[in-house]
Amino acid sequence: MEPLRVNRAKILVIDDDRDILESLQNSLELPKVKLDIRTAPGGMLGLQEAKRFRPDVVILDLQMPGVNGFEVLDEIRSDSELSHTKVIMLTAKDDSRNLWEGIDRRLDDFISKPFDLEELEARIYVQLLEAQK
Amino acid sequence: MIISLFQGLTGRLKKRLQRYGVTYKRRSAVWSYIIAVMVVAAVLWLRLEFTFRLPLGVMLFGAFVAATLGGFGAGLLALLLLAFVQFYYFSEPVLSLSLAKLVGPDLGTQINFLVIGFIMVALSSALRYMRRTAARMVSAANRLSAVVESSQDAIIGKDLNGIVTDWNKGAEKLYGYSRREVVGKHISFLVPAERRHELEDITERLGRGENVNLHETVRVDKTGRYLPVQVAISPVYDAKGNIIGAATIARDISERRKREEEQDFLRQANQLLVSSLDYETILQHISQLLVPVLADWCAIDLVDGQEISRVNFVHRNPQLAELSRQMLKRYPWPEDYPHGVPLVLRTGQPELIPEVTDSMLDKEVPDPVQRQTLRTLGLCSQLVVPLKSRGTVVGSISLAYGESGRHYNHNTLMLVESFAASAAAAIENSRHYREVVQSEQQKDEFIAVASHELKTPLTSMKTYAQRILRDAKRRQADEAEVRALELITRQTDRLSSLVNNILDVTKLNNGALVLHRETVSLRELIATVIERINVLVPDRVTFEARADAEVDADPSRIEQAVVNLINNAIAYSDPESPVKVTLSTRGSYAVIAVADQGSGISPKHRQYIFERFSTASGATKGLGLGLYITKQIVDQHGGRIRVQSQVGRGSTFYIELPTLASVKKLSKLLKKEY
Repeated sequence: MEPLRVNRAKILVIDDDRDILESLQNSLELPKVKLDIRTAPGGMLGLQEAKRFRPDVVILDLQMPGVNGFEVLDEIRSDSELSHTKVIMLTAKDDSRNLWEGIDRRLDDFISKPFDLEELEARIYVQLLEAQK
Repeated sequence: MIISLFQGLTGRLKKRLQRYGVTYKRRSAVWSYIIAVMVVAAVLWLRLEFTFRLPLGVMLFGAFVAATLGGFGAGLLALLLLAFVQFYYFSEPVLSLSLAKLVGPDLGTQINFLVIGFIMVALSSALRYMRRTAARMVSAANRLSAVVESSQDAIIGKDLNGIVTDWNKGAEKLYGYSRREVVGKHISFLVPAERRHELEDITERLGRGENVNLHETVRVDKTGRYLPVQVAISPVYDAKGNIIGAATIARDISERRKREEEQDFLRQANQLLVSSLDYETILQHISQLLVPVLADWCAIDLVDGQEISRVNFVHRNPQLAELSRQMLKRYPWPEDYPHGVPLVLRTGQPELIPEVTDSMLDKEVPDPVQRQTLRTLGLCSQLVVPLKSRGTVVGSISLAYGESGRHYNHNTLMLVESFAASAAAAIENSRHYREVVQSEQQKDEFIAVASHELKTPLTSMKTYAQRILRDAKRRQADEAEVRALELITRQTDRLSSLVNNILDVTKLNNGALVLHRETVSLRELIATVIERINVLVPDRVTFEARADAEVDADPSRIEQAVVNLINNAIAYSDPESPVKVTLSTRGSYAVIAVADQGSGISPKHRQYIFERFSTASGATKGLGLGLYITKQIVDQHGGRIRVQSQVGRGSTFYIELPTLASVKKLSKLLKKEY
C-alpha cells in the first residue's frame, strides 16, 4: 500500500440509521492514520455537518427520507469549499441503475450494503490517497 | 286417324302455350262420350215426341251441342250415333236395319247430313278449343302479371333502346315514380350521373345475350336519394329467339347493407375490445365506438360494491361532457328512480325510449337543474342497456341522441345489446387484469422495501461483528470465540445474499434486471472467482481453462451465475470431494462446466431445478432461487444452461454463452443482408 502522507483524516458518515452510524463510528480504522469520525442522521443534518466539519471523505447513504444521497451530493459538489470532498456512496444492491446517475454527478466510489468492514476501510484509504494527489 | 291428327296439332300448340304459363287439365274421355250419348238420347226423344219441319236440322244441332260440350271426339260420336238413329228410326221402313234402306232417296240425305255434320262438329270443337285456350291464356297472363305486380322487388321491362315498357308496383314503391310517369322514358333517369358507364356496359352485354347481375350498385329515386340496390337484368326474346328488350329486377338492399354494417361494427368492436387489457383504454374504446356512430353522447356506469360510479362519459361536444360530470356529482340519480341507469341496474333489462318529448322531461325529471342539464346535453331519444357478466349486472351503457335528431329503435337496441355483451366481458377482464397487476406490483414493491429494510440491520450487525472479530484476533482471544464471531459474520453474509436473491427475483419478474454489458474475458473472471472461493474452502475448487473466450456480458451477473453454480456444487457434495470448473469453446459458444462428485439429481427433480423455489436435491436448503436466477441471467445473455447428472456419481452444470467473435460475425452478416 502506498503510504499516506497525512496521519489524520476527517470522515463524515451520513445515514438515516443510527445503528449503522454507531457501528461505523466505533469500528472504522486505518493503519497509521488517526480517523476523526463524525456522523449525521440524515441528509439535511449531514450537509450542515459537512459545512462545519469539512471532512476529507464523506460516506453517504443513498436512500434516506427527506433529502436523499444524490441531493446531498449535488449540494456538496456545488459548494466551492466542499466540492473536492471525496464521496463514497452506500447503496442497496438494487441501486445499480442509479449508480450511473451517481457517476454523472462525480461520485468517487460506491459500496453496497451490507459491506465488508475492511473493504470499506480500503476504499476510504484509496480516496485519501486520491485526495493527496 | 282424324282424331290423332287433330290431337297432334293441338298437342304442339299446347306445348308452346305451356311455355307461357298456360296449363291444361286432362279431362277423362269417358265424360265426353257420356255427353254424346245423352245428347243423342235427348234428340231421339225430341224427334219421337214432336214433329219438326227440318228434322235433320235438329239432328245437326244435337251434334253441334255434343261437340260444344264434349269436344271433337264427343261431337263425332254423336254425329255417327245420330246418323244411325236417323237410319234406324226414321228411314222407311222404320225400326229396320236393312241395308237396302240406304239405297234410295235417303242416300243423298245421309251423306249430306254426315258431311255437314262433320264440318259443324269440327268447327264447333275448334271454336270451343280456341275459346278455352284463350281463356286459359288470359288467366295465365293475369296470374303472371299478378305475380309481377305483387312482387316486393322492382320489376321493369324495357325495349332495346332502353325505353321503359313495364313498371310494377314494386318499382313504384322503390323509386317513387308511378307507372304513368316513366313508361316511354329512357331508363337512365334511375342511374346516378357517375354511374352512367354502367348502362353502356349493361346494354352491350345484353346485346350478347348475357344476363347481367350487379350485386351492389346505386340508383336514384324520385326524391334524388341514393339507394343501394341489387340488380339482375336479363334479355327478353321473342318467339323466334330475337332479343327484343330486357327485364330488370331490382331489390332494395339498404336493410341488408345496414345489417352488414352492423355486423362489421360488432366485428370491429370485438377486435378493438380484445386488443387491450388496460381498463382505461377499454372504457375509451367503448365510447369511441359508440360516439358519434350510435350516440351523440354516452355514459358508462359500473357497479362497484354498493356504489354506482360513472366511469366514462363522452359527448360529441367535449365541453358538455365536463358539464355532465359536474352535474352528476352534485345531483346523483336516486337509486329508486324509475328510468335510466337506476332502472336498468335494478331490473337487468334494457330501457328504450325512442322519442323523448319535452313534456316527458317535465314530468319525469322533477329537478329543474337536472332537467336543464339534460336539455343542454340534448336528449331526443334514449337507450340504456345493462352490462352483464356471468349473469350479474355489473353496470350499464347509456346512449342518447340529441343534436343529431336521430332516434333509437328495436334494431339499435339489439345491436347495442350484442355490443354490450362484448363490452361487459372486456371491462370485466380489464378489471381483473388491473387487480392482478396491482397486487403483483404491490407484492414486488413490498419485497423491494422489505429487502431494503432487512439490509439496514444487517449492515450494522456485520460491521460490529467484523470489528469485534478483528479485536479478538488482535488480542489473541481463544479459538472458540474467534470461530463464533466468524460464524456470525458468515451467517450475516448468507442472510444478505438471500435478501439479494429475493430482490433479483423481483427484478426478473418485472423486467427491471438491466445488463451493463462489456467485453469480458471468461478465463480471468472465473480465475478471480475461484481464487476468492478457495480462500474459504481451500483447494476444493480446481479450474482448467482449455481456451479463453471473450463474451459481451455484464461481468457482475456472469460472476453471480458462476458463483451460484460453484456454491451449489460445494453445498451438495461431501466436504472433501473436489469441484472442477472447466472453460472451453464449442462452435460459437463458450462453455463453462461446473462438475461435482456429489449425490446427483434424480431425473424427477432435474426438470424442476431451474424453476423458482425448487432445490437441486428436493431438500430445503435456501430459498431455491439460486438456479432460477442463474438461468435467468444466462437466458438474458442469449446463452443456455443445462445439467447432466447421475445419482450417486455427481452433477455437471453447463453454462453456454455466445462468444464475442460469433456475435460480431453475426452482426456483420446481418448488416450484409440488409
